Amino acid sequence: MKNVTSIDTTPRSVRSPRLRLRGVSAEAAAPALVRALGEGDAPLGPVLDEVGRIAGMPVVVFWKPDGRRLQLAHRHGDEVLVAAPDNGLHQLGGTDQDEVSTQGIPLLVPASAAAHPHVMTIQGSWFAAVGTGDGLLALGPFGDRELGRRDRRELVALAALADGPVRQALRIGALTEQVQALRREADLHRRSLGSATDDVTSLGLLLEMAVSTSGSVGGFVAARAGDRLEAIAVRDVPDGFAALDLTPGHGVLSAVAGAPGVLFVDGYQALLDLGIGGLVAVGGPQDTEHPEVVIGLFSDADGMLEPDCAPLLSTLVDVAVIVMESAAVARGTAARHLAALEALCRGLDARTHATKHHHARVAHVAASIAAGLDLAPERVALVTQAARIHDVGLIAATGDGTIAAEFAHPAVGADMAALVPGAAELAPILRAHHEWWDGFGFPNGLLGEAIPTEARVLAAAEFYVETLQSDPSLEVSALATEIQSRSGGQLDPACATQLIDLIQES
Amino acid sequence: MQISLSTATDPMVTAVVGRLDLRTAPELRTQVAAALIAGPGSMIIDLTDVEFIDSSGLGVLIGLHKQAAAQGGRLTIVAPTGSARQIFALTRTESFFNIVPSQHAALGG
Repeated sequence: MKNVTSIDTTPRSVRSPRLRLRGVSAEAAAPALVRALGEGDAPLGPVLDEVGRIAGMPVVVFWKPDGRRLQLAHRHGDEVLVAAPDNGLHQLGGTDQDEVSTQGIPLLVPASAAAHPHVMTIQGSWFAAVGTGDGLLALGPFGDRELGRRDRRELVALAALADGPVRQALRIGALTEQVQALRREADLHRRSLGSATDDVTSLGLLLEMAVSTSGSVGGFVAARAGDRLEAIAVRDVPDGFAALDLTPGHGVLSAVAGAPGVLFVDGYQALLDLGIGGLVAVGGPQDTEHPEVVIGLFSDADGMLEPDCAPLLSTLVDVAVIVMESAAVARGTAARHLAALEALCRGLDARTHATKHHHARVAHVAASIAAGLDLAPERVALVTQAARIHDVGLIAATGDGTIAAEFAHPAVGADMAALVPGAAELAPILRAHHEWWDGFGFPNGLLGEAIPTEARVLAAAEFYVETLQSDPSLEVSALATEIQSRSGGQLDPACATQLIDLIQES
Repeated sequence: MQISLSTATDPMVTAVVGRLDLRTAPELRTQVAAALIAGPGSMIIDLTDVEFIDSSGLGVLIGLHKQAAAQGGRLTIVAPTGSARQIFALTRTESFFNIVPSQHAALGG
């Protein structure tokens, strides 16, 4: 781009074509302008391109007001005629001028620009300019400093035609900026939580923004879980919403066979019964037969959704897909790191015959105790994962048999886990798995329920495995007696009872 | 929403004014579906003055499109002039429907 800093106020003769606004047809031009609106996150450029094509002008410049200043929004055209923000723009003729500026450089436009087409120069070439509802539109270059009466009339028609799409394009651009800001905020939030896998929180933030900017009263984000779509984030949904099946073809939403990405409401009576008056649902990624994520916004019986909430949703769905993909990648990375810790533990187990498969055995028993205690599935998974790496801190032992290594390994293991993506939430469990219910454990002497439940389960499982490792011939009754004797002392009574039930059942 | 249904022509013409959403879409479906059964089977739905279409409005249009096709007829949609037009682009149904810019164009003018 040619960067011109001086202002040439002397119009020169140019060999450019005359203005060709004749025959501007709103009916013929509107579809192309609307199509241009669908081109990407910043559709102002394509819209102005289309305005230039309609008018037969190679260069289109648009300024939008920003207080008393005009900000250059977009320039379309060749590289010779440049209207960069640091270039001047002068209006020819007329006396009713207000002085405004672009980035500190004086810019003169007529006070009545919004009403009257006029002629101006940009770097010495003639441009036809007219105000729209949202700014100032200039087209050129053309070969005459005069606008004919018909040119003026059609310039006004063009401005009227361009006004809506330009306004929409500005709004979409502004919303895209908001979304990007939100993504940055969500990213920071995610990092502050120490986990890149928290896509539910990020999607909740996206939904928050969508609801607050669309005139809707509530909404949902649904994500694929197997062959179903399940709501993973909701905001202000009416009672009974949870009972709706959001999977296309199974409830309120449907897809069109052979038309990837198209979602529409099929079972509207179910929504009306919940007091929902309008729903816009958009799925993503684009062009997929079965959406991975759907964002829906609804109004109540009296409210109305903003007409342009659909493009907002389309943008947010794209962001949601990226968030979910990023989270999936992060989870994959975390799984590989955990696998590395498990490999270390297998190495530790292989050092003696007695400890062979120790971690796997403890994990198996811990899972059974946790399930028997009716812990939620995600907590059972957490206990099991912690058990698979619970003694990783023994890697710090020097092999000299000092008791210090044994006492240090819970803290060492916890510190290792805390540094590993995806294992941070295991750290407190590893740290406390040698604490005793009566407070006589180590390293911190925690008492009773101050010890994380998962750590108490792990302690009971390890006690069982180690007891059998030291005496494989122990009878079930003797084993049960041994466990019972530790209940309320070394072991959480609930875990001890569960463990006894398990061995007696087996 | 206002619906003006003219069954005297072939194709028939339905003009819609206002918002096409959960509250209004069922009425459009009821009227047009009945007209498609009783009439010649082809219909122009003029959405020129529709200001908003939600996913249920889209669903009704898809249903009517299928009904007309099943009866050997054709559904033609006159595009909204405002932002409601975006729903077709965003849901990628522009090629699914037969969308024209005006009633004049729909009638082959």
